[in-house]
Amino acid sequence: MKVQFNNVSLSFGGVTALHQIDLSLSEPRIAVIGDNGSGKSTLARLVNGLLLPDEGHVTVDGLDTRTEAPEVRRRVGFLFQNPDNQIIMPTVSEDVAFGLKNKRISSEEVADRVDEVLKRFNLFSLRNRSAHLLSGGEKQLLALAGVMVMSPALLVLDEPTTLLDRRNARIVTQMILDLDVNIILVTHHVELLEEFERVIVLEDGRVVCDGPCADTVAFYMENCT
Amino acid sequence: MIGYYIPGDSFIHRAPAGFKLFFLAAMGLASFSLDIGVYFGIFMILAVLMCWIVGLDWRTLKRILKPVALVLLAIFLAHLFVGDFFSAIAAVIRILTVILFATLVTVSTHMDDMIEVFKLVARPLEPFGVKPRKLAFLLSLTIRLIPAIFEILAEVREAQKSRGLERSVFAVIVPFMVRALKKADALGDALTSRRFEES
Repeated sequence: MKVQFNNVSLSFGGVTALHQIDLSLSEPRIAVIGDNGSGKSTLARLVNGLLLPDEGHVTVDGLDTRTEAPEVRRRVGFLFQNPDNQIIMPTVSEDVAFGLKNKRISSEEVADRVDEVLKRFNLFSLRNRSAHLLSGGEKQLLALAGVMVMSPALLVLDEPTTLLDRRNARIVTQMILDLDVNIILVTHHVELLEEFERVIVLEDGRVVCDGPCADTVAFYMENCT
Repeated sequence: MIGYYIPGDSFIHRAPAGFKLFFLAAMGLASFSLDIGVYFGIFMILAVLMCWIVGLDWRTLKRILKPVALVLLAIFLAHLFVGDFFSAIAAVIRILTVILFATLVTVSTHMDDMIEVFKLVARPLEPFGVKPRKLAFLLSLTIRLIPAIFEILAEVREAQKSRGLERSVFAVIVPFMVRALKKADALGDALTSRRFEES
């Protein structure tokens, strides 16, 4: 799975969010860090075509997000910061089944795959519960289950632990690290990045450091906070 | 509370979604066409009994009715102004009964089942380019979002109350609209990233 940013720029209302970004992302675990407003979330949203660049191109396995967005989204799952914005259906099992039902596969297969994913994320006992009455950590696990049931090859996570307490953040992080897919994680929590092969530091819409975890986190701590 | 689901195994939970929606329509129609004595005697008791059967407790009921209390009061006063006391009471009970029955249907019915019913109803529109599944989902989503919108309103009112601005309509409406629009935007992103467009 290879994500390519070719000379990508994007502005919102005259304010530049990303400025001429060139990146080639193929490592299994990549993290993007930076202060608020540095362009991290914008970069993440460009990967599955939720945003399109003003200039340049973003490609996923050679597919341009501008012209082949549905195909890109079949490969790229996206986890939002606030699970309340991601959970669509009222009960836990209905929400996990949502994406599968859009694919129009048989109801038996949907039920099997939903049960399997719910067990994997320790949500099976909550399957008939109202999704909006779950705790913050459970909601984020449900949102993650809803993405993973679609078997994406790449998972983009936009600050998935920011709204969680330390205990739930640890549980969700461990679940994420145990996943068998490529990951691009946008986060403020640099202490979670030990197992990441590559860390990219953004500042004012530009890549200011890019490399192995230890070096880039040290750079970030010294220069950007 | 409309839009939330209460898990359970009562006969109301097990009843087909289509029957429950038909029952709701029938009760709504009856509530606005029958005599006031019938409400007190049958419909109100039926609604309260059914609330108890699906597991709606008094605290939850209070939460449901709190946001509509002001609207009911306004309706009561308007009817009192143009009619008499009994017509005002009748109008409030009519609406209250329908709210209770509507809540009963939504808290005891899986959205998937409701979507199936809406799909059936929308099927005759297919030759005109309407996609029944999409239309059914959007109708269900509208129901689902009602509690979320009320939650946003409650949070904004609480925030403005802490600033002493609870009486300012402008101070509540503007942030409420901004947050509701942001919520709609976020929901659009979620639907896109969860591949709703492929349905």
